[in-house]
Amino acid sequence: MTEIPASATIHVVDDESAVRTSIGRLLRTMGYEVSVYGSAAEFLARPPKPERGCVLLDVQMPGLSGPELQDQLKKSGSSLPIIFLSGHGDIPMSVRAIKAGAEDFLAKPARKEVLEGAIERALKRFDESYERNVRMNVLRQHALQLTPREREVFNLVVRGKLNKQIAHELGTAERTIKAHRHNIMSKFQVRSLAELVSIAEHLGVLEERSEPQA
Amino acid sequence: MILPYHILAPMTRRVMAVCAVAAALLCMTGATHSAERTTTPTILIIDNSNPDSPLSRDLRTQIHSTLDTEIPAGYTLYTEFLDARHFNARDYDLALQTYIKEKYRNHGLSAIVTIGWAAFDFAVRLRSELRPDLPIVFVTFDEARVGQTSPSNSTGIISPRRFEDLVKVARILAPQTARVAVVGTPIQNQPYRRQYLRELSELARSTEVLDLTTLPFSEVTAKLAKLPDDAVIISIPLYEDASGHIHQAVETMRKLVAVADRPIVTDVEYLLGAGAAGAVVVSAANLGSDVGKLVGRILNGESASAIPVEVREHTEAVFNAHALQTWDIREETLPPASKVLFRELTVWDRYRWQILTALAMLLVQSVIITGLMIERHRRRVAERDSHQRLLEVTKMDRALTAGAMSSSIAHELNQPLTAIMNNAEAAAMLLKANSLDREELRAIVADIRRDDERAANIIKHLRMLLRQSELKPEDLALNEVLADSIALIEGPAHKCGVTVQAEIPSVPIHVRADYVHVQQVILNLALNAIEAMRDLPSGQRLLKIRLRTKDDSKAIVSISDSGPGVPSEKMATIFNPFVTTKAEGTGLGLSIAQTIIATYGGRIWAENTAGGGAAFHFSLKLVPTTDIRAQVA
Repeated sequence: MTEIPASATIHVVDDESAVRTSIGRLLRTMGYEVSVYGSAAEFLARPPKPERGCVLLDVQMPGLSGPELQDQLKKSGSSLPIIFLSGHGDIPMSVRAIKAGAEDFLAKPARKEVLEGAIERALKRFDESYERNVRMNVLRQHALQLTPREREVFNLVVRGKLNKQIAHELGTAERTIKAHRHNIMSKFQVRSLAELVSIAEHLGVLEERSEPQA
Repeated sequence: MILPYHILAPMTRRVMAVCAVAAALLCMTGATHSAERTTTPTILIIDNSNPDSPLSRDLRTQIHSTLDTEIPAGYTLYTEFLDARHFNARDYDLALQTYIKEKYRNHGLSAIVTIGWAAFDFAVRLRSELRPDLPIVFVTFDEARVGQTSPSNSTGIISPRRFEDLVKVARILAPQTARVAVVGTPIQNQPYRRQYLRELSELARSTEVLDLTTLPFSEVTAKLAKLPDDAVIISIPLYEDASGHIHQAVETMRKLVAVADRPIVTDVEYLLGAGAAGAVVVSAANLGSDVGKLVGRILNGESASAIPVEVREHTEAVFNAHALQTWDIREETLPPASKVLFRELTVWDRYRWQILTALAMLLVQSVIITGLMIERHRRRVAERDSHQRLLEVTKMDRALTAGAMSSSIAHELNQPLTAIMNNAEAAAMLLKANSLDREELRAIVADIRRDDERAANIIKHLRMLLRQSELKPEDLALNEVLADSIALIEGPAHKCGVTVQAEIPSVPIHVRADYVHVQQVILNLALNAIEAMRDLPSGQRLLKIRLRTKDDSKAIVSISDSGPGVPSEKMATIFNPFVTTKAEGTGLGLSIAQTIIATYGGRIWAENTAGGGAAFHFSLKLVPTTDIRAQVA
C-alpha cells in the first residue's frame, strides 16, 4: 500500500453478490479502500464522503439501472468518476454512458490490469478535478472579497478596457479606477493583467456580458 | 263431401227431373221403332245347372263384365237354367224348349252361350226351331267330345276339369298316398263333373279308389274315421247324398274335416274355407273372360264356324294355409305357382306401413348417427392431428424460447465467470505477497468453486430446456421446476431490471407432468410478464411467482407482473393462436402453454389484478403424497 501515494475508496455497485464480493476482494488486494453496494438505491441511501475515489457501476440492475444512477449523481453534482462494468459489450449503451461523462466502460470479466488502468485514470481525473476545485474555491473566496464597485471595474479590466474608458463608463475619475484596480490585484494576489484575465476566465466572468457572478 | 241441405235438395230434384224425361223418351223410342231393337245384340246364356251353382254364377258374372268392354255399344243378356241335375225328364226338356222358344221368339237373339254339354245340346235343338244360323258359343269342362266336329255356326271352349289333377294335389299334400276315397254328391248327378266317372274307372286300375259318393252321409263319416293311413280324401261338394238327403256343402265339409284325420282335397274354392287343405278349381275369371271375348268376336261379325274349338285349361291349385299348418306341410314344397289362401296375416301384413315408417325412421336415425359418428371420428382425428402439431410447435417454441433467452443466459453465465476471474486475480496477487493470507485464499477458493457450480447449473438448465428426448409425464415436485425456472429467468429479469419475487412453499408439491413442458409454460409466462413491464419506470418492475395448493386436489402456479395488464378486448381470446399483445410476438406462446397444460388435464387462465398488471395462473392435479410414498416404497 505504500506504492499508492494517496488512499482511494472504490465504490462497487453491483446487484450480484458474487461479483460484488470478488471484485471488492480483488480491489482490496490491490490496495484500495472498497465499499460495496447491492443496488443503486443503497448507494443513494448512504452517499460516499467527498474523498478520493471512483465508482465501479454495474449496468443492469433491478430497480435503478447503472445509467440511471449516473444521471442522478450528475444532477446532485457528484464529481466521483464512474467506470461502468457490463455483462455484455453493449456498444450503444457504452457510447451513451461515455457521452454522459463516464470515465470508462469495461466488459465483464475485466482483467486486473484493465481494471487497474481504468481506476488509475479515474483517480487521476478525480485528483485533477479536485485540484481545480481547490483552486476555484480559492479564486471564489478572493472574488467574494471584492466590493461591488471593484467587481464592476474587474469586469471591465479583464475585457481589456483602459482606465480612462472605465472611468468614463462608470462616470468617475481615472485616478479612482487606478486605486480600484490596485485593490483588485492585491485581493487576487496577482501582479499582472494577464494573470487577472486567466482568473476571470476560470471564474467564467468573460462569458457573461452583463453583471459578473460572484 | 258434405253439402248443406239447401244446396243438395234443389240439385237432386233437378237431376231426378232430367232422368224422368230421359226414361220417358227411351220408352217411346223402344215402342215405336222396333227395327232399332235388332241393332242391340241380345245374348242368351243357357246354363246346365241352377242359379245357385257358385261356379256358373262366377262364370256368368265374368262373361258379363268382359262383354261390357267387348261390346261397348250395349247388349242385352238373358239367362236360362236347365237345372239338369234335378230335372232331366224328356217331357220336361220338351216343355222347357217350348217355353224358351216362345219366350225369345220376338227378341231377335244374336247368340247363345251354353255352359255344359247338356245345355249345348239343348241350344242346338232350340236353334233349329228358332233360327238355324244362330251362333252358339259353348263352355264345357268335359273333354268327352274333344276332336269331334261341332255343329255349324258354333264354337266354344273346352276347359278340362280332371280328377287326375285332384289326385296330384292330394299327392302333394300326402306323398305316401296309395288309396283315394271320394266323397260328395254322386258324380253322375253333377253335370259339371260327370267326366270324373270316366277317369275314376281308369284310376281304379292303378290306385285303390273308395267311391263313398254312393253312400248316405252318415255312413260316409263312419267309413272315413276308419280309413287307412295311406288313403287320401277327395271331396266334391255334397248337396244331396245317395240316399237323397239334401246337405249344405260347406257344412258337410266341416264335418268331414272334423272326422277325417288327414288333409282333404276338393275342387271348389269355397270349400277351402270350410277346412279343405287343397283344391283344384276352375278360374271363373279366366274362363269367363275367354268366353266373353269369343262372344264379342262373333257379335262383331266373325263367323262362329270359322273359329276352331279351343281346349284350354283354366284350373289352378289352391291351398288353405291353416290346413297346411295343421298338417305340417311347408309352403316351399308346393308347386311354384300355387295359390295359398287364408294366410294368417303376419305382423308385416297387418302393420306394414307402421313397420316401414318405423324402419325408415330407424334408417334415417342410423344414417344420422353414423354420420355423426363419422363426423366425431373425423373431429377426433383432426384434434389428435392438431394436438400432435401443437406438440411439435411446442418443441419449436422451446427452441425459440431458448434462443430468445440466450443473450440473457449468457449474461447470467458471465456473472459467475466474472466472480471467478476476480477471485483468481486476487489469489494471484495474494500469492505474490510476502506473507500468505491462508484464510483469505481459502475463502477465495471456496467462492471460485461455488461460482463454478453455479455456471455449470445454468448450462444444465439450458440443456434441459433444449432436450429433444421423448417427453414423458412423471411425478415431479413443482417446487423444483419453479426453482430451476426462476434460475433461468433471473438472467432476462436482470437484464430488464425486473425484480423477481418467488413465493414457493418448502413442502414438496407433486404433480404428474413432463418436466420440460411445465418449465416451458413457466418460462413462457414469466418472459411474457417481463416483456409486459418493459415500458415501466425501473424500480416498479416486479415479477411475482407463486405456488400454492387448493382444496388438497390442485396445485396452482401464479405468475403476475406489474405491467399494464391484458387489454380487456383481448382477454377472451388471449389463449387463441396468433393472438398477441406484443409487437413482435408470434401469438403462439400462450396457446402452446394452454395445450401443454390441457395435455396434463390442467387449466390455464388469465386475469388483470386489482393493483394493475396481469396474472396468469395454471392448475394441475395434485398427485397424492401417499401415492408417492407408495412409489418410493
